[in-house]
Amino acid sequence: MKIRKIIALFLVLLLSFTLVSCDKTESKLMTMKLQVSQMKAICELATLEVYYHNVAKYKMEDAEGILFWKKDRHFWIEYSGIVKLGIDASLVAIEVKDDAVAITVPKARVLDKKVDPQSLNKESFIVEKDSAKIRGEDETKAFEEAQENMVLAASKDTALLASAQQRAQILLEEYIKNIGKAVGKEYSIEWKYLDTDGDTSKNIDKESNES
Amino acid sequence: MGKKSSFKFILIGVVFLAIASVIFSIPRLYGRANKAEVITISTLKKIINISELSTFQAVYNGIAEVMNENKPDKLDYYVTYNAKVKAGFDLEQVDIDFDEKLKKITITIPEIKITDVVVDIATLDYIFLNDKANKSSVSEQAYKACIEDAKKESAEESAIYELAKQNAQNIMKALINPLIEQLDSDYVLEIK
Repeated sequence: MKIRKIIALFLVLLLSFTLVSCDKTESKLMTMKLQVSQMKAICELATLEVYYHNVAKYKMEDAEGILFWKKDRHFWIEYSGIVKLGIDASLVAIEVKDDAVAITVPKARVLDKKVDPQSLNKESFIVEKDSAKIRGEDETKAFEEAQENMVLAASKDTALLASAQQRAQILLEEYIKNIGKAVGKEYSIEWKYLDTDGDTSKNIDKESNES
Repeated sequence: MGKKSSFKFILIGVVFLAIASVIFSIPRLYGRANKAEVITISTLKKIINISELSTFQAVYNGIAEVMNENKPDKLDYYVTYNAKVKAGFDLEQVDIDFDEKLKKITITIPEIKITDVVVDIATLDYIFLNDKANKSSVSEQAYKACIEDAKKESAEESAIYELAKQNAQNIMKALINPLIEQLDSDYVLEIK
């Protein structure tokens, strides 16, 4: 009789355990939802840090001498640095209505830059053989221009910027898809792009993620 | 008699348990079109398996030195070039460790490797030290020198590998952290 009771108790406990543990996981999954704060954090993590090795070219015509003895000042500087590219997370707006998610994102741009000062030294200079003498002030000016030059070069690099933009969008899409899988929903995503003036352009694409 | 009835009772209990398990499993398996997924190593592997996110680009606009063919100690010219360097890792080699006791998920990113170096031939620019080197075949010779220089210099540049790894770590965080934060905020994600 005692054995029967123990067995019965054991079976009831085992069954309850199975049901409770399933229910706990299930309920946690079902409470998962799209969170704007998480999506902004994703945009920040999507920022790309790009190693940038560059050559700044400096040329000043008739920098030295007179008449036929005039000389140009012509030299190159090789330097390196890091450029941060991405979308400004503070400008990202997300709207969730039932299964439809509308995301407004700005275009990817250069968010920060840092020239490695150690990469700029005497060996970084390549001077043309007939160039006018390179003065200290020319070097200082060239160093300053190198920083701006790096930002300018990165800002014009449409392929690199497109890759940063795509990375942020893929990560957001994956987040939405994964939350959708957890709660058993199929979200549709509508992308809106902010132009440089802060205006929203018409929807460029509309996607539905598959789960 | 007592032993027999105990055995019967156990048998009934096991059958009951099996039926109950099946009954409760059916809705989970077929009830919803999109079954909820619990985080496991295999689901984590699926989550991070996005090939577009495993390569990173670096810019290597450099200067190559081209020596005189007959006098190898004499420099003929310098040539600048613009190059794109791709560094990445093999997604298949990513290791995921799941410690339920410590509530810790450890992701180990494999070695970062340079996968591609592309020099744009249209960007070559010269400073000649030996004017005789400035002839029609110069761009072909210079282009080869630039490719070699870009491959060698980028392979030796530790910052390319470090930044690619940093970017990879951030991407892993962006993919996994939001999910574990919502499922169980006690879990810690470590990316190595």
